[in-house]
Amino acid sequence: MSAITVIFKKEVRGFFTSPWFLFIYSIFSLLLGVRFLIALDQFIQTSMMPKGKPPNIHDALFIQHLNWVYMMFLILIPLMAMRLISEEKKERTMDLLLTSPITTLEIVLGKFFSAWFVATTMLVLAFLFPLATSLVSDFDWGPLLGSYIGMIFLAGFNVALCLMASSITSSTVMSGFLGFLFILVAMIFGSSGIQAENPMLSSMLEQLSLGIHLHDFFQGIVNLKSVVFLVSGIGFFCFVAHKLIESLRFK
Amino acid sequence: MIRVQNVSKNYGQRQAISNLNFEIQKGEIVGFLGPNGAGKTTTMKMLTGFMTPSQGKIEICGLDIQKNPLEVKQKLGYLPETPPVYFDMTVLNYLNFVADLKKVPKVEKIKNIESVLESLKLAEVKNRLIQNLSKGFRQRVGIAQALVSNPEILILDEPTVGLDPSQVAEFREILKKLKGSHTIILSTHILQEVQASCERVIIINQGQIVAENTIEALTTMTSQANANKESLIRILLKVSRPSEAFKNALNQESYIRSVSLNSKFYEIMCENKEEHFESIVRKVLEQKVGLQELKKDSFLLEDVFVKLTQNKMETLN
Repeated sequence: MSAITVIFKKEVRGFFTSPWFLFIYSIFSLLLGVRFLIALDQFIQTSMMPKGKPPNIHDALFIQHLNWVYMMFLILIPLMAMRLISEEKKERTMDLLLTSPITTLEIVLGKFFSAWFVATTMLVLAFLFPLATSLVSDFDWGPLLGSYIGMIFLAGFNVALCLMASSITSSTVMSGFLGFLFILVAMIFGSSGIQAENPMLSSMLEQLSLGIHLHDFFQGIVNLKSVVFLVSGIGFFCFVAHKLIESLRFK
Repeated sequence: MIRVQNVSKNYGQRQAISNLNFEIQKGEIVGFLGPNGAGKTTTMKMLTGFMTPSQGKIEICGLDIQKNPLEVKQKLGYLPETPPVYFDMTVLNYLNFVADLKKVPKVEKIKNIESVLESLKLAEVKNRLIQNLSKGFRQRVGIAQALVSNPEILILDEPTVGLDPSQVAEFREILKKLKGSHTIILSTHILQEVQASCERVIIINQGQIVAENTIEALTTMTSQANANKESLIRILLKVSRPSEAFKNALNQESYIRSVSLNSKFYEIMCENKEEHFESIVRKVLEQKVGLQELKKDSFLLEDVFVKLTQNKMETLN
């Protein structure tokens, strides 16, 4: 078993045996259900209206639902990832990890993949709703799958951000707050509100904006540019986390 | 087995360790002694590869710890000051996790876990969460964690903190069993611990080695140093009716150099000859002061420790 797998398994088991996490997880699935019902109700009402074009089920229902998941991730991912590194430092279990025959990179990747995996299970849970809808309605699967693939990458991006936040401090609360702040900044950074004078700068900011990439995914467009952007973000944040942990050796 | 060459460690401006040199042979149990803040833990952390020395080189089993960290770490078991346990895991899951981290093969893993659970008497709590265990049990889980990979080298930082006296005795038994097959470094400031288990001690003060020898050699050296050139010995005497007259009577004897009364004991410095000891006994009985206790004071490791760590720069050896 590789060291990444060892850490991954331990973390995932830790998540699913923690009463607090299970509590949050169940609240999340409850809210998902309630929210979907409300959106469904609204969708049916607008479709019943005699005037105008009937709304597109993807935009009016699924994207609404996914947007809601994304908003919840803003809180849930920092909550999940905040303890990944900071708690190891606080409880001095980092001593064990750093004196074991494994590399710091393996520690970081094991932690990252575990939280990413858990976030993905939440998306799988959310995907059950459109899946159930497909029993009673016909729709285009392309945009829906595209949106979910995009969301998986976005979740990874946010998990990596929070993992980095977690390696900055040994206070769990502080690292959760920092993670939340980082995601918030990433969300509003370069969003349509910010317009630079210089058109080149403006387009650069646009490329760095999570909102733009999210919008593409929600349209069902999985373009390479967005995937490369998110994956390099994940790589960069994991690299910084790796360096921060390595710096413990010199303190 | 372990060779430390010119190792220094700086924390910013402060030098925690300066120019450390020592060697430990295979199968030795070495006590690493020093007052709080002397640099014991820093040295342990550098030996385990947790910390990087600012200068110098550490070789373990002939391998440079900087160049081959993973190979070296596989040979090590380390118990830090705070046992590195996860509170939300059961003892069994935790030991499994550590064994996997240390890349112990599966068959060996099951055998090793069973043997540490038995030798540290953890079998009865193996399915309990670590957060629900008492401090002593957590400490034992910490020791189990260091032993679970059956490492060639064991580095234990204050292993008996939090254990009750019978557990301490059991721990010494475990160390005895490991003696010979494992190389053990025991960092502590509990001197009885060292006296009971170690063959050799390294005393460190303010980041430097102030003494390095066997326990016997160190105690002999200090007693000789203390007894001046004339070879005096210290005799402790306890009587039920201490009096000034008795003290004066003792002082009159030619072979007695000084007599002083502490809270309980007369402390007598006299020439180191067998017959003098006998004369003192006779004198005490003559005076009828009620002899309770009379003993030659031997110089213990404690004296060595206090002497060396107080006279900072004085180096024995």
